Amino acid sequence: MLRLRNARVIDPAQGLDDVAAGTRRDLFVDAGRMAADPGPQAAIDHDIDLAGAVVMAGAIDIHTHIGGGKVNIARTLLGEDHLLNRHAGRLLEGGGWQHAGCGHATPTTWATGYRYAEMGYTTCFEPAMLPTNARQTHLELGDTPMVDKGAYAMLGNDDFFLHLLAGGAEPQTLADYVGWTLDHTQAMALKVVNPGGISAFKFNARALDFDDLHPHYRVSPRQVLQALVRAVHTLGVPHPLHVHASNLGVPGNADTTLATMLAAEGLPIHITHIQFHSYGTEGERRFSSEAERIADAVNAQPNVSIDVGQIMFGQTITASGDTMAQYRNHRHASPKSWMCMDIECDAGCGVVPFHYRDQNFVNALQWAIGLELFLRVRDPWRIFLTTDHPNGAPFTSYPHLIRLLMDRDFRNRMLDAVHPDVAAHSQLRSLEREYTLAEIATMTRAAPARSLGLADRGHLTPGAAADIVAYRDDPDREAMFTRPSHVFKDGELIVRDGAVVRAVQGAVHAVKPEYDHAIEQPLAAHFERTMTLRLDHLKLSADDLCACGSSRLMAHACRRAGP
Amino acid sequence: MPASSVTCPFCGLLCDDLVVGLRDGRARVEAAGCARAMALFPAPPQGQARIDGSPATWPQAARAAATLLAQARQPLIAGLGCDIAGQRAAVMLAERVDAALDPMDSTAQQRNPFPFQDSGWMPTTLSELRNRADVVVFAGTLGAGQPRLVERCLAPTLSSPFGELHRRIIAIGSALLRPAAWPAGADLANIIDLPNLHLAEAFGLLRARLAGQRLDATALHGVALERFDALLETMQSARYGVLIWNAAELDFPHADLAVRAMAELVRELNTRTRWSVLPLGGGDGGTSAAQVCTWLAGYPPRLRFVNGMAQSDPLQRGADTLLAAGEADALLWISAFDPARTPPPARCPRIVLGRADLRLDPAPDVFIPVAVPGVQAPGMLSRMDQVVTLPLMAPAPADLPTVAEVLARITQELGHAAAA
Repeated sequence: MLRLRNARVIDPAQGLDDVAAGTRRDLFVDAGRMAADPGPQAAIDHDIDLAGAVVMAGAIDIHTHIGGGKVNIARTLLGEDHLLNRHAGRLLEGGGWQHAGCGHATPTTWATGYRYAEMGYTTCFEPAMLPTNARQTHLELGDTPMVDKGAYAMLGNDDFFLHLLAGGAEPQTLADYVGWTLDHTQAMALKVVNPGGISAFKFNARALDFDDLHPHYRVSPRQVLQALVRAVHTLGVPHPLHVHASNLGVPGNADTTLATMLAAEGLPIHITHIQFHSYGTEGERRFSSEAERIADAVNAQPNVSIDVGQIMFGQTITASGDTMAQYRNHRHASPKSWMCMDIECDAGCGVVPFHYRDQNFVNALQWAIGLELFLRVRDPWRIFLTTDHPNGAPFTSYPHLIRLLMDRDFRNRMLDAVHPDVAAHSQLRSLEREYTLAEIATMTRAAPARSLGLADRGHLTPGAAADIVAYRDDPDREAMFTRPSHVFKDGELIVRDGAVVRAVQGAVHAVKPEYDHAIEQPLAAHFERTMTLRLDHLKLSADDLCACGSSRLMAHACRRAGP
Repeated sequence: MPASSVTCPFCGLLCDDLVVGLRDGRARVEAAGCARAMALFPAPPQGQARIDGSPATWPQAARAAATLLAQARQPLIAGLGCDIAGQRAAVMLAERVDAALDPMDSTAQQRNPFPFQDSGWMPTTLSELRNRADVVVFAGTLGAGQPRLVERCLAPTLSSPFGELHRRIIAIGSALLRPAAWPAGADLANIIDLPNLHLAEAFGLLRARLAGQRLDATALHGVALERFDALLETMQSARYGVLIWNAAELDFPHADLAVRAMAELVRELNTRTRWSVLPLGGGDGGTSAAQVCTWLAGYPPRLRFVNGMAQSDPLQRGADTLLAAGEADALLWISAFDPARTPPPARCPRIVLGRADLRLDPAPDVFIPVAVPGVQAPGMLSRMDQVVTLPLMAPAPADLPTVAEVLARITQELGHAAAA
């Protein structure tokens, strides 16, 4: 048994906040799990004095592009990114080998795992797994060490689904198809990207508003969205439909975003990287913040959760399934090498390098809009900390972002340094809120775990997985969250003072909904008739995940909603 | 009972509809195989590991290989003709011994990443080609290296889920080799006979005409301007066009500029209609090798590890260049698919992991016969369009180690070798 003494625990799921209460406690770990205090007679094998460190559960990133074809394309396209942060492989004191790594915006898979663990993250979710690319996605996740992984399957632009929807298929049939896809691609949730729009771009449509009809299938993004929201709900998948809404990046898209929330009709819905969807058309540049209106809507609709997709200044690269948006955005590419790909009657991907500049009005306002959203949305259980890595910024900028949220003086100093018109076009300076440590712990641990249905993660209750992070309390919150003193993964010490000391492989989370397996017959026939691969070859088993490199499958049963 | 829906690992298409039986311990294609598949599936089920030509067990040979690699200062791991598990193991071994990594077709495939990294392009995948493409332009190739491409994606008997599809297939280039299995009725609407060497000019001309520029010339290398204008008109009239090339068949200096001109034309056509590119290639595990190197080490080939860190070095680190210049002092050659893909000549010690029937003359210092992925051992490979990774089956399991097993053993033996 391991004992961690003198911890100041912040565990929102249990309502614990030792920092606020001025208390300390001991934590106990046995066989990879949190354990209750075994009493004074118990044999303690390892005893670590945390000396008042702030202790939280391992952090969970609910939306980070770390695996699959688009990420590897981004790695190829931006080779110079891999001249940064290079380190050689080395033998570890705790046994095992830490592989070489490099990269800033698109680190190698090995480096991705190490960088996350070094910051105290223990679980990461790749949010855009095309079913036809699922095996590669799981291969890359399998080569991402240290953290547990999961992926969200993308539907809603694939020809089988659109054909079903256009033909008036029963909601049950659509739910069965969603269930089949989640099951056989080993996905944790379902995502839709620009509902119908990626497909429409293949038919040469350059825009598709929320109530426009798809040029071939004659269904609207609203219909696609509603069908998928319902299907996810019916199947009882814990995480709501993960929505990359229509009109990403388009000035005035806040109206679409608000319509998208309302279209869920009270059912759970998650709007991702909402910063990119909170734009108005006011002002002489016809580009303005709609953060207040969006945040008010989120505050008023308890069925809605969001992640922000904060941008940070500097070089990065955007990788998205939204070919329609990425093709539109290619004129902003920096450097000017970019790609957009149509994929396998399934979806697409667009990869466009971006350099966000603090003296560029639009970029600086995007930055302010993201922060406004963080500060205006009141419930930290429904807003998650993301940069849509690498699209808004690399995930390694999270500690800086946390400081911006927790330190108003620092935030205002940063605001002073960006394009001078932004302060006038944003209410950021007037927002006095400073996030507490408990709120940070909620939005990076407890809330993502609850949203995803990870019952034994994101908290430190006895019986939970012992993913534990200890941070030295430091008024510079960026320094504090950059370099935890201890990170434990399933009870093993993997990071000490911000450096990897032990290599672990990490498992894969996936949901296992109940559905009618008869859906496979029409789907196989569709593959036989129109595709260049067999349906059976799309399927991934638990053994396949291990062949891909992950340690095991952590399956999560789903409870179907009533009729 | 023959196995059905077997994936064929022998070219970048990865056809996954083969029927494969077993005769005398060897796989035999019974349906859906092209000539290449028919020839390569029947791999011999046994092989003998050898050290300096003398029989050894494969673990003994792995130890001898580790000793050679541990002694080398600039080892080269080349070929990489194996499945993803083997390629992963190759990168991990390279990381330990500071080796260069170079797949067997890198000289040809290098013509793609240069223009891709310089400006990018808009690609598509096989099922999109099959279902959408109403204008297809083959440039400098007719897909002879991917024998079933036309049959599986462009045959007139294939129906489209998006309604009637009248496909026009056009070719531009010289000495175009038609695959044996070219289906009846898939007629070439037009062939522009122009030496491949001039493809960059031809596509530059098309770009200029698309941009509305006037040209004083009336012909390009004997092809009248009107024919290019007609081609451009056809291309602009497409609902969904696909431009196909194979870097391996663009075998002339600075062919990357031809690739770039093609990719740029396609991007410009997208201003008004939809066009995509589809680079062919990816045989002998080439697509997977590029993918695996990129996600593990950060760079597509060619690359090398120096002081334990990966460096991209596409211009100077081709296996042939390194070996000719004496800049590699040990070669590990991996060729598990095709017995004709033998190691390049080398004056340094040679370790070979290959099919049991790999034609080796002279004998290498160490030879370890390995299971053919997709025939004798299961595995995974990436299709040439870089999206679909397919499972490989083992219709004729053999008592041979996999490439990944051998490389893992060599890596494990490195410590002992260094201590000895």
